[in-house]
Amino acid sequence: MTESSPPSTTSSPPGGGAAGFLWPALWVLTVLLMGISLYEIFFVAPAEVQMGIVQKIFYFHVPSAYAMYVGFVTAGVASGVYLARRDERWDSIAVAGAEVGLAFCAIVLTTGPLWARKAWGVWWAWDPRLTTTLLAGMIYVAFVSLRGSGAAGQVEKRFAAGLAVLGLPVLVVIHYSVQRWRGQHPTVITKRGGGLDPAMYPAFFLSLAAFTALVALLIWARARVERQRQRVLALEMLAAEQDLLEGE
Amino acid sequence: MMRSWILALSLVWGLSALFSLAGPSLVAAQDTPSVGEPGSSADAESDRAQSFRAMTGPATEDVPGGALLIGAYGLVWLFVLALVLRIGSVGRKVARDLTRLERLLADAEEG
Repeated sequence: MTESSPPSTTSSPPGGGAAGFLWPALWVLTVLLMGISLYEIFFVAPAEVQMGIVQKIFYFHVPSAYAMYVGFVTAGVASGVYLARRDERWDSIAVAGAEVGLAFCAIVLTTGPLWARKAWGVWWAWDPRLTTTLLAGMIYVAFVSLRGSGAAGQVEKRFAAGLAVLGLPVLVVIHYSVQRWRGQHPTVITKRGGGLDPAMYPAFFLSLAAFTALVALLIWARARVERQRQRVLALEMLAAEQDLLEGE
Repeated sequence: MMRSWILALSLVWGLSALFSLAGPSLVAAQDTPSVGEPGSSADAESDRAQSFRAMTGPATEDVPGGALLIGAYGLVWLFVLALVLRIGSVGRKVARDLTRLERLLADAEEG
């Protein structure tokens, strides 16, 4: 299978000239939003009446879950486009989305139990949302394991891309699991829920914005590195064809 | 490559089997709050599941919420830092390989 778009020879961020401005702008925005949201979470937002201060985990947990969705959906959609077009650029975005999504999935699955210990009295419950989140994480662990070595062939890439696409319906199940099946997981930010205290909204929305900027920054950085790795593999093949790697 | 496939599939099926078998035992082993305990009534659970309300007055807690909060906050940055370090490590290795290969190919072209 021939590649439809060989990696570029430059190491500039994806997006051409506009990226030269967007990259530092996104860095500054992320740092600013993180700083302001942390101030809001720890110094401004009130403690919750029943759970106390531990409820503030909510301000990291929910935005992390959102960032996990962004990463996994990016991986799934980019994998779908890669399968359709066999364009290596989409493959690099898929790898970036899966790795970053997995990191945020790990955050969700570790911060949640810390909150649950206080709120539910147990570290873990086989609640529909928790179980489906774990399942989604395992699907993308498989994707990252397949692609982690960096020297995956076309068959492995296609198989991994298929896994990422198959993971997309699980994300929909996670989202609707609380509404469709009875579980313990809170449903505060839904039509069924009673909502947040008005004093909690600024911290929540600021944290959501900060994590959105962070996940975009991380996916961008990881995709850029993956694109360079594709370039290295292409050059290695070229060097091998000329018997230049024998003495190394 | 076959090893990667086997590793990935084994991981998925192995973990699925582990959780299927161990799940009910783990749940049974965990201590659940007894009925009548403060904060464990059905009304409180229902209320807590659908809305978060602000506290008024001083806070008194039995489980150390502050430690759990700091632990969660630390974990967030631990995972983000691990990811940033991985991206940096892969990036440095790729940059080294890129320079070496470009030099190798340029030398071959000249020579």
